[in-house]
Amino acid sequence: MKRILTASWSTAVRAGRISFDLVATPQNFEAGFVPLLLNAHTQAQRTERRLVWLALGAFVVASDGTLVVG
Amino acid sequence: MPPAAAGQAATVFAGVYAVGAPLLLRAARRARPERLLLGALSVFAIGNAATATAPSLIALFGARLVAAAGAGVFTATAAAVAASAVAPRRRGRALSVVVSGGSAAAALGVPLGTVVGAVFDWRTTFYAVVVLTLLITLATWVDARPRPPPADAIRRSGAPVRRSEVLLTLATTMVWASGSFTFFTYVGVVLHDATGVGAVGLAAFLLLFGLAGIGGATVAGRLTDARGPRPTLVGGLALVAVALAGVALGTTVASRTAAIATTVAAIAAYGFGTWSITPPQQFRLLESGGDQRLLVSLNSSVLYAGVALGSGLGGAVLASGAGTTVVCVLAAGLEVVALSLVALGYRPG
Repeated sequence: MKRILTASWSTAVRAGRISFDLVATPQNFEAGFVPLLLNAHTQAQRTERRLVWLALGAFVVASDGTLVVG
Repeated sequence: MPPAAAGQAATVFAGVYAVGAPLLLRAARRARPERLLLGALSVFAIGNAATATAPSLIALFGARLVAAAGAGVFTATAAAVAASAVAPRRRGRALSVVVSGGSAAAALGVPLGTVVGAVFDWRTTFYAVVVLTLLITLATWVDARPRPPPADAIRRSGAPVRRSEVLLTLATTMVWASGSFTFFTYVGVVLHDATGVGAVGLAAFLLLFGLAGIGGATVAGRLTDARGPRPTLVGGLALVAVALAGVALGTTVASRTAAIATTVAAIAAYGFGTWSITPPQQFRLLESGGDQRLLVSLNSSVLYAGVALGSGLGGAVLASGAGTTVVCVLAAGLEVVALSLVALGYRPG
């Protein structure tokens, strides 16, 4: 069970990083996606992390109920 | 849940989102953005928890009303917060990151919610939304330490509003949404007519639409920063018009293979184009002065008005027996009108 959870988490993190790298500035993500979310050091990293949470919020809100473009 | 009740619950959600959010934001205009975000997410989570546990249809409608209020306030505040968190030269990209969350929902969130609902039941979908929302609320709370915005970030609340620019921007959103939803509300009927696809094929088309949308929002943000919002809008709206004409062409092609190829290309272009509209539109409104959150929420309100108008137009065309080709041509025509609204008063350079 632990192995399945670990593998699922790694896959999710990898997928998240690939997706987010599509919209992110590469130099802000040299340290990786998880360190950015858990341990952002610079102001630029903290701003990027904030945008990630806002985007995830928009994802959940748009997924719920009526889907409207925009 | 009976289909009619689900439809009515969606209408309640849309109505409150469109009408209630601007009023709530007006009332809370003095609230700090971080607190407003946390409050909106909390209200959204409570609304979804109440939906999941609703014992009756009336309770369900009440719960959707609460969730919609939270969603509407969150969406407008998130855009304003994203824009003010970065320097102006990166504002378009920041807006596009948030908008791409919405297009990712089209590609992944909605289908995933449907699968969860089918495998378990509809209440489980709403429980899952509650869990995700609570996680995001927690992260937002941890991340919400007050910090000064960049020196040149937008700080225009209280500045005089450029009314003509605001009205023109809102009119563009409404006409664009009308055209888009003249087609998109009936996407299943149109695509079945063009390609003969069933539910699985439609799901594949919607996945393509959402994935292209992530690309469209991303590129639009970068173009808005590099070239400005109006050239980005001109490109986006022109692409949507051409794409809708492409779908119309797909409904007239005799060969099924050619029809599928045409429709695949058209839907990819439509997804890319239509999701590229919101970042530059929000950018224009944020540049117009006044209450940023209120202006962004008004953009959502007129978008919903456009959705209702477009759905009505498309339905009327289909009811008249004119067929799906006419629906797509009418939709493309409305996008040309939106394009001309963007061109009004535009001085390149």
